[in-house]
Amino acid sequence: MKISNVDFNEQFWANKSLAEFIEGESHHELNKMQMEEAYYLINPKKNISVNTGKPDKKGS
Amino acid sequence: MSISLCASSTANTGGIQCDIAPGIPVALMVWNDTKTIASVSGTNFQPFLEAGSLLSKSAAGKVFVFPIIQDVSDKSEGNKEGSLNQGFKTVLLEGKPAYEFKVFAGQSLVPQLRKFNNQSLRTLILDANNRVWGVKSGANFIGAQAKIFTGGLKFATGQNVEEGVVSISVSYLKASELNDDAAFGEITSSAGITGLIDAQVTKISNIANVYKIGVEIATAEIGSTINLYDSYSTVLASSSLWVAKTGATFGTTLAITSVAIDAALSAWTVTFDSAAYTALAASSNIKLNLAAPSVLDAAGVDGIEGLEVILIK
Repeated sequence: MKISNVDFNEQFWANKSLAEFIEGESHHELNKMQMEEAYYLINPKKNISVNTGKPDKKGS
Repeated sequence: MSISLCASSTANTGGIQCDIAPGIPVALMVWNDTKTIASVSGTNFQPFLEAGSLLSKSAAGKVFVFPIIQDVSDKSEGNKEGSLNQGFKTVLLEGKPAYEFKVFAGQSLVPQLRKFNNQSLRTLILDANNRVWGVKSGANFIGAQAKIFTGGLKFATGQNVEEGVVSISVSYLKASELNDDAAFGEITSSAGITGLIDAQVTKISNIANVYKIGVEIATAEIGSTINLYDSYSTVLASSSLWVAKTGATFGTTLAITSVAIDAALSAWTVTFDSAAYTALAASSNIKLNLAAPSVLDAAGVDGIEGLEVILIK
């Protein structure tokens, strides 16, 4: 999954937390919005809170 | 009835209409493997050769494809004949087939071809009729045993077509493999059956688990390499096109979490799994390479085999 010339290993980052993702890939100098976009494209189910139906920015 | 053993030592002599014979050689291939005829015959033959040409050079089934033949000379040894003084003459020993092929190749390629010199190899020949000739051995298809010798490039004299022309001698070890047991498979196109180019993966720098990596093709010009970034910067920015291994025998995969373009360096940023990298002992070796040639080919990086780099933590 590619965002701004960075290809993230979807298989690796699937089911990891957003915090882990940001910690592991912050060196690419993508902004927070781009990082979250990348993460939620890899983990679309984590973007919706089960209880509220609202985006869950914790990615948990 | 005459007393004879001819029934077991001869054969019927009727010919098949439109029987097929070898045509003009187009390409020499080295293939040291064996396949059952059932597995490669018919429509299986083309994919078998395409897949074989895309294997790594260290793979058992690798098909090495030499450059297109531009000139053919029959260099076969003549039969050895003997005679008796009352006028009888006969063949005592059958001469072994040999050919000299001329191909176009530059100084970057010729040393690669010369690495096959004087080794006993098994060979296939693609002819101008899209037939690939080898040997039928029982239920198997194999290459014909031969020794190959590729000469060096010479300065041209300006009198003949010589610049960039190199001679490849093929000397077959057994006449019977070509004369009695030759067999062929047909292909529809030779476009996908090609030789690969080595591309050296190199480390530029690293900060912890984040490595700056280049990929270059060596040339004969001193100080000059071809940077794969110029052609494949975006395509190779893919975590599925790189492989990292570690462990004593490099049997453990080290996950690559991302690959990014580094335009400033004309290289790629390869990031390893931070936790796994941290867990490696100091001075641990990591073998990083491009994915297999067939994987690269499927992604549009044609005709390339990566040469690994060993990274030391």
